[in-house]
Amino acid sequence: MKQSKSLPLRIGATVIVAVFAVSCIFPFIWMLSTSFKYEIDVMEFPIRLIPKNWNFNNYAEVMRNSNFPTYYWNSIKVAVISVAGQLLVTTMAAYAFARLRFRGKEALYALYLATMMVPAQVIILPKYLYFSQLGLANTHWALILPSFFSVFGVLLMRGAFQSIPFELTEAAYIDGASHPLIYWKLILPLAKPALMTLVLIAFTWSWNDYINPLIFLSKDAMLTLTVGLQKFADEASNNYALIMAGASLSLIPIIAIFMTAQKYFIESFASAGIKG
Amino acid sequence: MLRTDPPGARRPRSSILVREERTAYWFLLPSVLGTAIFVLIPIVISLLLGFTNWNPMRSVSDVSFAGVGNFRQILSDERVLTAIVNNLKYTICYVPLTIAIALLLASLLNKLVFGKLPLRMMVFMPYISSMVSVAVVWMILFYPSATGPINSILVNLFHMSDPPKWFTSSEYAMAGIIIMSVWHDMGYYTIIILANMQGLPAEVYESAALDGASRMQSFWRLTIPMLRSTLFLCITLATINSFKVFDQINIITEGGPRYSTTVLVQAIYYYAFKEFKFGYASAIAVVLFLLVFLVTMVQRRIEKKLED
Repeated sequence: MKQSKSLPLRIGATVIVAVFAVSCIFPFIWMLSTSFKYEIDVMEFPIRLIPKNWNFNNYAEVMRNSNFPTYYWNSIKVAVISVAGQLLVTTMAAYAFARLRFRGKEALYALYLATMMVPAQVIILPKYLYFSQLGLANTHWALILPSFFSVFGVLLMRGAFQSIPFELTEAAYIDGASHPLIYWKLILPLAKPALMTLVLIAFTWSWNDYINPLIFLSKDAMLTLTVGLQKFADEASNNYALIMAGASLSLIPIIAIFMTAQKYFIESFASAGIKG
Repeated sequence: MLRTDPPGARRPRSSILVREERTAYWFLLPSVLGTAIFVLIPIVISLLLGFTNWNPMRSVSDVSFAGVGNFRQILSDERVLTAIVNNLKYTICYVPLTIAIALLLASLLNKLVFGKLPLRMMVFMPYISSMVSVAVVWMILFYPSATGPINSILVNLFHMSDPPKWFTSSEYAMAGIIIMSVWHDMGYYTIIILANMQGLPAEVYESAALDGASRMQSFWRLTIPMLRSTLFLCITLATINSFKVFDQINIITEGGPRYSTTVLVQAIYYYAFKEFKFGYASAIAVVLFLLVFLVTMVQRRIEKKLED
């Protein structure tokens, strides 16, 4: 016998969740709808989600009167290189932690765990001083390089590699395969779901990062979408329809990826959360 | 491979072992080197900077030792003291609200609702969106006059005669920030709790139902105790994240009006990049670190107790 799942109970639950779900997407819908309005119609009541008078010029104006195309390119470049580098560096370290024996393993692992406790905002000033000395300030390397050395990524991949049966790699080792070969040909392909998790999370973090570009970049041509959008919104001051077109443009790529791969996205963030 | 070595066994290191160790160090090299350069050394510098007067606009020779001066100054600095109070206000509202809503949504999404997948997707959507993008949207949604989208609803549907001025008033600015932060993050905690709920054993619920337990009873007596460590993890994560809040505040209010939304990271940013007092800003960063450290230690203590 199971607890009854009566229809009214299920309908009630659906209504409650739907109220929250609609509040979650309402700002996005309002943003999209406002981006097709004339400025004069932005503050109308009752709120019209389908514009009375369509204005298709906002997007063209954003593209024409701002550096949005450059911001786009910068965000894509930074995110792609960050993710690729992070995958390589973290999986290599994770391979050593999960599959190899070496002296000082426990101590090094404890050190990695300890660094997770330090908020990124605490070390941003020394990083700024450093990068200015090294000539990295105002280059994309200031965003890309530190992201390679994600301790979170090492911990995540270490867990994934540990769950791969050792018999598999031992057989290969006895057959004469070297560790780099086992890492590349056996472990990485077997850990594909975890790699996917790291790619999605690292991409989202890089794409949405605000404080690092804010502090390390000052030239307009170097800005990524987040800081670029803030700058654009400051300059457009009261032209809300235009700002909403800019906000929509900045959100479209990540939401498009999210919608097509929502199952992987949600599972990735949930599983990384479980592992802490 | 000799994984079965008893711990602490002393025997001659075989050539296989020596080679394996050398391989391990090569594999670790990029990560260790990078972590040292970009994480460990900055941590040390950060601590040292807190005891100096450092202005990045002046030459390095102008740097002077400040002792505990910076820390003493914090005690009488209205901006920083208000920031700490605001951080606490934010945490006290944000954490319970976010976790309570996430727990409610997760338990309803788990087995009861129709259309679980689209609803789950909608709830999670704010979290993957950048704070900057959604902050500029919320700034306009919370437009301070009666014609603002949210205020027009309050005025016309709820007959409020004098709607809040939200981000332009020192009374309501923090409330607005908290509402949009809860909105942004609740989906994240929902999916973590939901994923753990799905892993709970069905048999326990079946036998409880057999014993005549109501749905509410099994929620409070079974679900909550079994999810204890998950909920605890979520509360810790949310608390630590709430100490680091910055993006939405810097975009919407820049800490104002009249310090009403100034938080610690905002204060660090302000002193470092508006007044170029890197030493003083680093001292505030050390305070932030100590607060996060304290939370982590308390969390470890409680976690140990929960396990026993």
